[in-house]
Amino acid sequence: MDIYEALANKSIRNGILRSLRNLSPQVEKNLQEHPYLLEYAEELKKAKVEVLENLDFWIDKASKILQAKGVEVFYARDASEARNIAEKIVGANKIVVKAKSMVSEEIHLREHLEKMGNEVLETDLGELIVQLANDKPMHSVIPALHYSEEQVAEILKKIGVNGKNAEELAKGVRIFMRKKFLNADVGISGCNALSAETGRIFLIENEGNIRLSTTLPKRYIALVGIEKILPNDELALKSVLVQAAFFGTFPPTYINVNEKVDGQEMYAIFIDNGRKVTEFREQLLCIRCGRCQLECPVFQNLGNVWGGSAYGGPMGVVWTAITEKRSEICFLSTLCGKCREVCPMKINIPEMMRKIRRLLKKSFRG
Amino acid sequence: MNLAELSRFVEILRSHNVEVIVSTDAHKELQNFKGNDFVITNALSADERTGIIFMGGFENRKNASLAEHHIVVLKAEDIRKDVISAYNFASSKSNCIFASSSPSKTADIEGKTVFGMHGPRKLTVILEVKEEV
Ligand code: SF4
Repeated sequence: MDIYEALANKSIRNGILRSLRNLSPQVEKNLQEHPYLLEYAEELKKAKVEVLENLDFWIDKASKILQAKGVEVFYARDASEARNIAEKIVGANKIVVKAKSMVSEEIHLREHLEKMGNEVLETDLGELIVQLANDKPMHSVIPALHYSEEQVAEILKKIGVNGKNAEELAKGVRIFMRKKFLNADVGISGCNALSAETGRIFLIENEGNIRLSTTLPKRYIALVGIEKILPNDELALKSVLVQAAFFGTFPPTYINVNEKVDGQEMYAIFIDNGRKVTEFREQLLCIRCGRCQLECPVFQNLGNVWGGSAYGGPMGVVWTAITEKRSEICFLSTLCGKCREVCPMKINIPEMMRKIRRLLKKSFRG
Repeated sequence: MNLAELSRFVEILRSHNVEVIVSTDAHKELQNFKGNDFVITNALSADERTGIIFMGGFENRKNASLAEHHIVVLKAEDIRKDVISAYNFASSKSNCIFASSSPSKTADIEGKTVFGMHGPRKLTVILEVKEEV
């Protein structure tokens, strides 16, 4: 879909505005009822700035503690290295259950593992809908917000799930997916925050698919963007709570604190992919709450079509410049500043958009 | 925890669609659950302000994730004033910490909330108190 098609596609706009109407008042309510979350956000930002200034130290520290606990640790400089590492761990002809993870979208892991002859299933309902529709996530937290109930019913027929409404469809997917969880060889998740103190991986969710994907299979792979490292458990917990509150669902239904346990092989793949050398380091403070997307007037019309191959919207433009070195999409921004205003980390996205523009103009001039 | 704080905590859990039973004898309450579709977990701690309940242990996590109906026994004395204290208290007692605050849910289809997506459809908390309230 190009941007003209996206503009003509009313379901994108309707889906985003519906999500905004549902979630925005919730964010306000969360912050009113739990004002300490703003302090957590400030503390988190400070800690993240410090970690980013000394990233090698923290990667080393986190790797060592993970290894000491029996986790096999890898470092992928780019997306292709990350795919190759994951491929070696997974092998072929396996059933792989995946929890929703933007970093796995970034490295296009599912498609790669499928090519290797594996059955790879997205287990988050929205992400499964997107996978079956051969689409890309329209929003980082609500991937299928642009599909109507009727369209979802049509899409889910592909896996034999029939139903007339959200309730029946969700029930059908639960039954379908439960068998997959129980038979899965490998589980893959992202990482919302990693504590370098204990090597614990913090993941929040509402459906329970992450808990099942990372608990049932005998082999578990965590994909960790290197910017997710935090000094300790306390900050990691604060990070996931702020993320949930600024998205709009607080408290999260589940908090999973994953670590190496007997009877399960565990692998951690640190993913650099442009992060360490980026000129847009401030974006690495992002905790992927997705709020800047829903609140952005351009995103409201285009969704993730305005973006790179994984990330879209205001945060997505900068993330795409970091991970794909693609930056021409920055010109669609109105530079209104709403993204910065609503961001829990107060990331100055408009300023980075201006910088991307300047760099591009310079490269045109030669 | 005084009575007002306790009722506020119960109110928070109920607002998350959690069934709450306040009792001086959790064991007795558990006798009322018949059948085999439920899993019981002893909570390690909980946060008074959010209703987040911390549990621990890999086997417990596995069983809780597969349950249709998850029953959690929480002692009122294990409730902490804030989420960080509750987490620290839980992790001083166990590894593999996990937390739940409501039944499993999704809003991925047109923003409509459906309970019991992949995890337990029902969450019951038996809140054990020292004296009758
Ligand atoms: S840039 Fe800020 S608002 Fe946007 S997803 Fe990241 S943390 Fe959230």
